[in-house]
Amino acid sequence: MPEVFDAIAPDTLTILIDTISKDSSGRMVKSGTSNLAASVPCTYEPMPLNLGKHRQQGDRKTSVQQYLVSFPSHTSAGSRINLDPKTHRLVVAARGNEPVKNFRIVAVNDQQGTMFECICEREN
Amino acid sequence: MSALSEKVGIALYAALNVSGVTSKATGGVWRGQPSDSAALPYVVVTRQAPGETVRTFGQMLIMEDDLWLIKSVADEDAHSAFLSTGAHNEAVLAACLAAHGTSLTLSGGSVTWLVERVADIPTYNENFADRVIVHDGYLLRIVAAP
Repeated sequence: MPEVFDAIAPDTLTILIDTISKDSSGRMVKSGTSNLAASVPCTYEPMPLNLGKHRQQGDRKTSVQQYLVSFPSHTSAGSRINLDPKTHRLVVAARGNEPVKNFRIVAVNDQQGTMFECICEREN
Repeated sequence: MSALSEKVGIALYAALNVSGVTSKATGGVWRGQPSDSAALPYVVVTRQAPGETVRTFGQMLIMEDDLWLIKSVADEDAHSAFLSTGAHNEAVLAACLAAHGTSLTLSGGSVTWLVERVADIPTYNENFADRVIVHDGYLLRIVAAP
């Protein structure tokens, strides 16, 4: 499947892991990110029948669109990618005039261990 | 909103919009609703509740007593590096307290004669996609005279 995606997918993504710990007062701290996997071939498209929406969050209006981001469940080296929607983020690399795109994972759909179809949100 | 409370809001914003606050709340200080493009973390200032309005005979306004809300808003990914969101908000609110102190100067001939911090508001956690936006703040009692 990675080879198939390599052939058909024009984009690549990096899977970021948030480093989460607890400070001395008991509060959660996000202290950085690391890469779970990089240069993973992927495709992304707006979710069908999802027209996007405005939400009032953090006292301000935010525009949100849901996307379907698809990529193989194994790296080209054969390592299994284990996704955690709570702590992982997807960053699609820039390509030509296309800028970097950040996707927040809402849910992970595992297609029989061959590929992921992640429901993600892209803001503003 | 009365003309007097509007003057108080303007003075409060001016007192908070200083580098001691905005160096931590890098998204700025906003009255009411932040702009759509404002990036977290930021400070929001709003008039929370009206208090007593005192008038003399003939309806002459003597003073207005209102509660104002000063709030620091941040999310897990948008706060001072290596601090928890709560610790970041505490640092911002401490800077706000230092910035406005216990007095305000109003323009247009109005004078504030009492500014008093009443209480902290409960922390409000708001789910947003894969993270949490945290709201922390305090209530400020401002009594103004025209």
